[in-house]
Amino acid sequence: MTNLTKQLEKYYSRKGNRLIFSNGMTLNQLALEMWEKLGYREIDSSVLSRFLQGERLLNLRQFQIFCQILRINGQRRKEYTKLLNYKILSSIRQGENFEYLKQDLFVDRTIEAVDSLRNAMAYDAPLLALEMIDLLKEKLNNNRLLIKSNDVNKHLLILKGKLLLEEKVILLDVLPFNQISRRIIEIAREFKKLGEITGEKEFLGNSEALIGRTFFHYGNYLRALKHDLLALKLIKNIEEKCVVFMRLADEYAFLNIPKEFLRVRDEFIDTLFKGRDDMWCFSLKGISQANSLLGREKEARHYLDEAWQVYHTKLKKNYGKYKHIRKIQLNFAEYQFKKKFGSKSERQSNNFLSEINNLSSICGYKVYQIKKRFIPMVVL
Amino acid sequence: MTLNQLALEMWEKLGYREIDASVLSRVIKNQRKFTSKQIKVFAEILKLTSNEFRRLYTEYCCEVLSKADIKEDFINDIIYQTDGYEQILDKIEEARLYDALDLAYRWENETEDFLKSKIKILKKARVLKKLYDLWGRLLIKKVWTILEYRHRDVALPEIIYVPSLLERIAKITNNREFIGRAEAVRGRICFHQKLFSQALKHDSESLHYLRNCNEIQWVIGRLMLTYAILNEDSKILELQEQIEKTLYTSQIYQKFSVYRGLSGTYIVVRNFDKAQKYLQQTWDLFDKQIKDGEGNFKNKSKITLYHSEELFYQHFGTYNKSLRNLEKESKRLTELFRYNQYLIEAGQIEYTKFL
Repeated sequence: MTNLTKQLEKYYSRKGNRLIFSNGMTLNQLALEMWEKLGYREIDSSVLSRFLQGERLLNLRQFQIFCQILRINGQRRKEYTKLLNYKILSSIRQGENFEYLKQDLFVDRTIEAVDSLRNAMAYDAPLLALEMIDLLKEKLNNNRLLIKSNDVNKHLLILKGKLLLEEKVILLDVLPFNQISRRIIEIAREFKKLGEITGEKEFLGNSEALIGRTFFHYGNYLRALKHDLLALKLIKNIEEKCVVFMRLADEYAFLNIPKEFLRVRDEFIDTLFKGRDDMWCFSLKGISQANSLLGREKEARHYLDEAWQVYHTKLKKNYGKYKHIRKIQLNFAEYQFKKKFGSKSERQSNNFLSEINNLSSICGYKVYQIKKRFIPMVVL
Repeated sequence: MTLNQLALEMWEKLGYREIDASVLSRVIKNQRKFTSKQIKVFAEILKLTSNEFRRLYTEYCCEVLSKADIKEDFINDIIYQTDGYEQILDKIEEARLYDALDLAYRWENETEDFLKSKIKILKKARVLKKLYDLWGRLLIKKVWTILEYRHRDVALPEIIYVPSLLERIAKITNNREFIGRAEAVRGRICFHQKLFSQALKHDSESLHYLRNCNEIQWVIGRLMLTYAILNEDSKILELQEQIEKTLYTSQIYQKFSVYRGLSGTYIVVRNFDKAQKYLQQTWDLFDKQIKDGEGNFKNKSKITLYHSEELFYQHFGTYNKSLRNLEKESKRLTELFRYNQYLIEAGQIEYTKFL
């Protein structure tokens, strides 16, 4: 059964052997009316019946009349006409040409759209990114439904992986974990499936990292550690590696294994310099946080100061560099540093909280709109 | 390579079949067509760049597809991705609605460069027309963004080329609405330059051509303000009736802007009651429908409300709302979201901020 045939099922129901259309007509009546409108030719009830069963096609003129009688208008008619066009192309054996070109252009366009998502996040417009992601996912899925070729599908699957990665970043940076935990697990599953189909280790690594992230959120650091260590072996993307490194550092700190923490820290530092400027800032803040957890005040202060320095020199005056979200995260680290070592006055720490609340609510980072008593020990 | 050599190499790469010198010669003379596989092999041997190959392949598909019983629009859609550009315009509008001006400005420039490059290489009249139409609509968005985002010293020089380009687009697309848009942009430029009589002339002219309700409302709003500045109060009421008639179908932000514009007009003509009434209606819309939602110029609305309140105070010497917190918040939002046109000290706010 073709996609179009399935879509058109909405417009009729079966009563015994008879088809009754949404406008009350039987198959014979509809065929008769089409025949009249087509100049008393081309259509009879057998042709129409075979069309509805996906056994033959109508031409475009016939289909427009079919839609007109059933009052299928606007966007729907446009969409169905598109589906019919696809069918006509396949029937004249131009499917290969068409699919090649379409794939090529669709892939280009989707890559651009994924870039747009990243831009939206980089320019601190998280709610815009959130709005765009669902739309894009839907389009990618619809497109895959129309394409039969395995080659094309594999290409699109890799694109889907890229999109999943953006979705993960957007969800985790924008919404509280409790609101998105199910979606995160679903994304982890999809990554795993994609990894198995395409053989891309990166996808399997992303899946492990998300499971690690979930265990971390629920305070099961030992299990989080297991998945994150595996993720680290599979992931090549520097930014994603940094995120996993940061979590590993925190996990060793929570489990009070300073020796392993120091080993991870050194590896982390070697990696973070290869990443984006904002990830550099984010990672230094992460190392500071883990040091705080282990009670290493001097080191924690040192790395936090370095993170601020990167913020001031590389992010603050530029746009498209995640500057607001990084500022929020740095303020969190400052607040936690104060809580741990008590080196700032109550007023100063309240200033950090007020800056966090202000900036996160203006920009739409709902994940950072946390009441004072619910602030976690680390912010990822 | 000679024809024979090329044919031989193609024959080898195609598994020792399909092509010989005679077939190749007939293809070159346009007497027969390559298959999809053959054209790829042909491109590979001639080492065509990916752009060259895509252009060749696009032409090839165009020819093949045009023989099928499918809609031309559909072919254009697929081959030239014209529906894709429509989506880019929507995306830019979304960015603007979410107050992501930096992003909107960046995407507008990228899209304009892209459209220009496509227009340069395309020959198909119908597609070209479509691309010019998209360019024209993009230009309108760009003008709006520039006037909010770019610093006031550079904003006008950056848009000065737009009206004449829009007129050219009107000719190419045969769409007279673009003439109206060109006139409206001229009107706006004149207004910013405080050349109010000229602004009046261009804006009035634009109304003969514009069809889009939002665009008409923007122009009428500006006309009312211009008449107010020129002390021609008698024209205002008529225009107000005209604008209010179209309001019921408008979206929230558009209504917000119209009410704010009305309050601005009555501030200028020093009609305290009406100025306050419309300012209050603007606040009501903001509080009930914009403040807690997303994607309705939420932050811009707050900034512009402050500017209206400030002008209200300047004209009537009395506060409609306390300005202390509002001024601080507006400044912060202006800096954060780079509404650079609104980077003005209190007391220096001027009429252009009602637009």
